[in-house]
Amino acid sequence: MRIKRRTLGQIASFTTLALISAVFLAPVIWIALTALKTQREALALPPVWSFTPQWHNFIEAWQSNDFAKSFLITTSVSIFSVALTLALSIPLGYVLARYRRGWLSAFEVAIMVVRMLPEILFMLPLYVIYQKTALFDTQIGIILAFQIFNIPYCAWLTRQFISEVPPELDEAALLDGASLWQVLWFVIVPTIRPGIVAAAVLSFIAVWTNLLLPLALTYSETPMVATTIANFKGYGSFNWPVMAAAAIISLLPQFIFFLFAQKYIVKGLTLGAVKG
Amino acid sequence: MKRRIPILFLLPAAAVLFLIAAYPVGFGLWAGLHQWNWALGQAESWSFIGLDNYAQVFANKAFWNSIKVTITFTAIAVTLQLILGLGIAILLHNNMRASWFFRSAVVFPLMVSDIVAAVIFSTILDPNLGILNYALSVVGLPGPNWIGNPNLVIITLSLVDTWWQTGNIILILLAGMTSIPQDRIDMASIDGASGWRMFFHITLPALKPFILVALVFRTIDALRVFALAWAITKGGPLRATEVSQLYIFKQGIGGAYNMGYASAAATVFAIFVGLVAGIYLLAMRRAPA
Repeated sequence: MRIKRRTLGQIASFTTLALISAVFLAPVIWIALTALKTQREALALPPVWSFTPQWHNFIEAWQSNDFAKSFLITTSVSIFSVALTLALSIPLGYVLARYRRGWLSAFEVAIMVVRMLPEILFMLPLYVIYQKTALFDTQIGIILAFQIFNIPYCAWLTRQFISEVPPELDEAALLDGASLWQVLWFVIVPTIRPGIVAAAVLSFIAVWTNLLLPLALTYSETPMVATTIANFKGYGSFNWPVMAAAAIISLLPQFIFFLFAQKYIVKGLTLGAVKG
Repeated sequence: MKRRIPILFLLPAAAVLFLIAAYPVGFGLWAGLHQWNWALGQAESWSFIGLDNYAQVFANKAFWNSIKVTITFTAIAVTLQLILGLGIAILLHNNMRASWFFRSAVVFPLMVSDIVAAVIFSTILDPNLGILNYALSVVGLPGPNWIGNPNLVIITLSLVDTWWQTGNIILILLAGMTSIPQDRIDMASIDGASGWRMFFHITLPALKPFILVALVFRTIDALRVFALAWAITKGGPLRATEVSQLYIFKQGIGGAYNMGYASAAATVFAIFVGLVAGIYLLAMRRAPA
């Protein structure tokens, strides 16, 4: 009897989970189907379930509204932005983990506050400053702007990981005559590699998905994927399948990371809860 | 032992953050004290007016409306996400074997950018051409105007946000559950606790700090909502979804170019978000970890 009740319970919770998963996946599956239809099929109700896949929608999406250009620019911006973030925040994380000073804790709190503030607080003045300094609508400008939120996040993340590395390791290397840079590069970085991967992946995704920063600081010279997707939606007689195809293409980087680096993504997203 | 701080480790990041975050915020504070409306041809000249912009912000109904809309959105979205997230996390935790696929399914929306979420749901929720209202009509339910009804639309956006961000809470709570010592659960089941009693006396108290963290993260994030409102509804109908970041954006670089006023409004809103964050952080310190 007991066993039977238990299996029934398991079947019930399994079914619930399957239903919930279906609800969470359905919107993405629906948009993927839309991307393969003709405009007439996409608008048809009741929905058309058997249709010839229109793969050319993807080509059309790639070729319209500067989408290809924005895809390449966003790729370049995200790579350079993440490289800069890591180069600046790993040493900072090391100092925050290894040294105790009053002003250092104050600095740490300050950068965490920066991360919580609304983007618009920074974007209004940066828009003016960028217009005056010719950084507006440039890759360098938008790469720098992403540092506002990505440096605090990555410094904090690497700080947590470095705190777990025993300081004796540093001491031993220093006694052997290594410089602090060598300690950082040859001792710390290899030890906390999972943390660095998590920081890199999540900052990459942040660059790829943020809308307000490119909306405020870029225009036609440096279009970013988020704003070109918005343009697909904005045009009067918009074409659902092509817009859906563009949305699907824009999801590719995240999808690849999700398949191959899910472990690190989960680590990066949950560390704040575990460490408090 | 007090060693000298390697200043070169610290300086580059601090310099970048000063130039790109601290200096602009200072400039914004200063701009907020000036009459500086580009739409009136004042792009090149501003005049100092002290706290007048702040007085205007506090007297402006549209600003207060944006605060109200933002709080409503945040309250509905975060409450839904917390309840749903807790339920799903418990189900996932009790079905470890099957949970890899299910966990991936509920976490996947986190990978979708907010603009793509907006694109997806604009098509699904379209009152005439959307699949959702068609599906409702098939089972005999009236399909509401999800996006056009000013009384409903903020709930619609909260639901989209719930689809998008519940995974975040699930991940945090799952991490919390795996940290509950197994012997505590074993002890309780030896004492005859099961089901709901186990949940209320063992699981929930142990999860409390994790729930608080999830609450803080999600609240701060939800208060800063922008893209969903900007892309799905443009703030309408009748300002029903004009959340604060969108209102300030429109007043400033998004159209009106009333830069002094928008800077003051941004400052007030940032202080509001900061206060909420501060209250939460204090509550977390007090909660026994």
